[in-house]
Amino acid sequence: MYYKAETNDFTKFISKMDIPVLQLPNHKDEEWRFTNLDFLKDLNVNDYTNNPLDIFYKKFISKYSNIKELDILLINEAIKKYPDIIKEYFSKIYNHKKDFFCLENLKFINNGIFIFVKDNSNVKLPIEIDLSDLNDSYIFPRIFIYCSKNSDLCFTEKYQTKNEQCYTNIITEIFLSDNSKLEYTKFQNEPNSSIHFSGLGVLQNKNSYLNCNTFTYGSKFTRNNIFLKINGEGSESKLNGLSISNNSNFVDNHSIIQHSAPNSISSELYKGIYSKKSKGVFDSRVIVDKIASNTSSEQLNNNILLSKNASVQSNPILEINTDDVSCKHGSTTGQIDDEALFYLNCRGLDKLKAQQVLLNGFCNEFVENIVNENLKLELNELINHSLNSI
Amino acid sequence: MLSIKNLNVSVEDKPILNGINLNVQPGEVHAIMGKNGSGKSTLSNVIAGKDTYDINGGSIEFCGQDIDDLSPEDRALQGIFLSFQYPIALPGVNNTYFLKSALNAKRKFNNQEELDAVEFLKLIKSKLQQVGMDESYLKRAVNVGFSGGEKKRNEILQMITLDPKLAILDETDSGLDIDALKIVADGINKSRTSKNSFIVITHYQRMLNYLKPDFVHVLIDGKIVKTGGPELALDLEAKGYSNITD
Repeated sequence: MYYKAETNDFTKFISKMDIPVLQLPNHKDEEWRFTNLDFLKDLNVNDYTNNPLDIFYKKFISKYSNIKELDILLINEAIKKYPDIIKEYFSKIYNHKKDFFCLENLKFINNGIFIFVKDNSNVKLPIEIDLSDLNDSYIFPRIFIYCSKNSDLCFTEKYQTKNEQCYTNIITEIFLSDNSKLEYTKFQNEPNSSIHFSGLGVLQNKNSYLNCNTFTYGSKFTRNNIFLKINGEGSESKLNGLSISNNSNFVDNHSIIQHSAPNSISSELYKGIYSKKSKGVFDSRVIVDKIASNTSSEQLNNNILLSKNASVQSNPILEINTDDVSCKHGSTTGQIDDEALFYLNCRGLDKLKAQQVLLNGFCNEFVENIVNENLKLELNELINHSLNSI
Repeated sequence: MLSIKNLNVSVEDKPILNGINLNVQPGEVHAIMGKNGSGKSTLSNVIAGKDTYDINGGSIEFCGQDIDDLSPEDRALQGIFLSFQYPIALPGVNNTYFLKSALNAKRKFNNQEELDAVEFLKLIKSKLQQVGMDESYLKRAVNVGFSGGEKKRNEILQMITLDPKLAILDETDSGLDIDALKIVADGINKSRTSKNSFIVITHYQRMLNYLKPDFVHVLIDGKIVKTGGPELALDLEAKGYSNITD
């Protein structure tokens, strides 16, 4: 017996969508070849009996209702107010048709948050959706952000539930109009037995700019899926990630970046620290379409293993279908540098402190990408907390 | 201050140091000169406590205590400072954080109160001036993208900030132009007192023009083959090492 979504305009809209039936992916699936999902067979998500998010969404909307540059509303209302945007882009920027988890999200939602950023607006205050206080066992948030022309937004998602058994499946879709700018940050700091699936889809138009930062700590299973399509000339995208993994955590950062317009730039910097029996995956594909000449792209994945039992599968892929591009990728995985440790020891820092200094430095290269100073401070605290626990 | 007796060291069964004897008293500056591969850096690393060497015999005493069992950090806390021949780059670790952590570790060890950010900044600004570095340096990551000269100045900055009893300067002069050499040497000279000592490892005499060592030792094949005053460095510069072995 699972939750039957209350019928509304949005659920009617979903019911008219082309929704295939998909099986749980397995390692034969190209997108899942490094990730074993068998453990999900025992988890009966269909036990999900209520939707805890209605009240949460309303609180979020009222918190930011006085920001005149934004129009924040429930997706169910956005269907009436912004029908063209919903019809054109909803569940198309992050396409559900081949994605088991996106379908699952669609199955259980009857609403979501819609954020409309008005033309020529600059929202200096970070807009923060913080699901930390939700203690439900199943959470299926849905967020859609539409950034109009020449707008500038700083948006943050936080997942810090205390519920040990929490299962989160979130889908966020973002449309960036011409010349718009977005700093998107996602913090995850969840209990070691929780399961976290996240899907982020971004569609970028001309001269738009995305700075996307994902921090992962905790959870026995995390999958961060990012589908980014650069559809407008002159756009720039930065995707950065930091994972600090402990115990038997499994973190899979999976991304597809598609350059479908000329003269665009994308860069990825994913860093991971893995201790004990934790495992990581970096699986990222950059596709440069035939039309996308003069593309510049860089993929970099750096990992530190703190234990013999920790491991990482690093798989940066370039798929280039045109000439005149500058693309490079690289990956490093290793232990903490003994020479660097000795250098710090010679300055009076003991082994533990020296390791902490080096790991902090490793993480700083990620933190430096974040522009908003308050977010930086908050993230530094979270990193220190994470590093002290591994 | 430092007393090394009959020190024998090898790496993977290959002997590097073959019976080193060295006595350094408070206030003294000792220069150790020698060709590449003569064991100069091994000697400085062994004094600093690097554990990749096999010590086959002999002893190292620092301030009257055998330091064989001491970790590199304990040696550093007790007052031994090694200026690295090739300082290590620490990506993401900014100089302020690094220096403050090191200084406070030492202050804690000496039962002194740790410095807060404001006190530290005041102190470090005066030290920066001594080695001709500007404040922008404090925000940079340790030795990342530093020129050879900047790295060496950074080592001296760390030295004058930590104020060690014994500083071992491993080829601090290499990679420095004449002006930088003078600045670095001035920084070292200003920190000289009757209580601290220096071991200056170098290939060239020019650094010693500024530092004026009390003793010059010539190290060949892991042995000190000759010890003299500053004039020995001049001799070496003029005649080369072969003259010494002959």
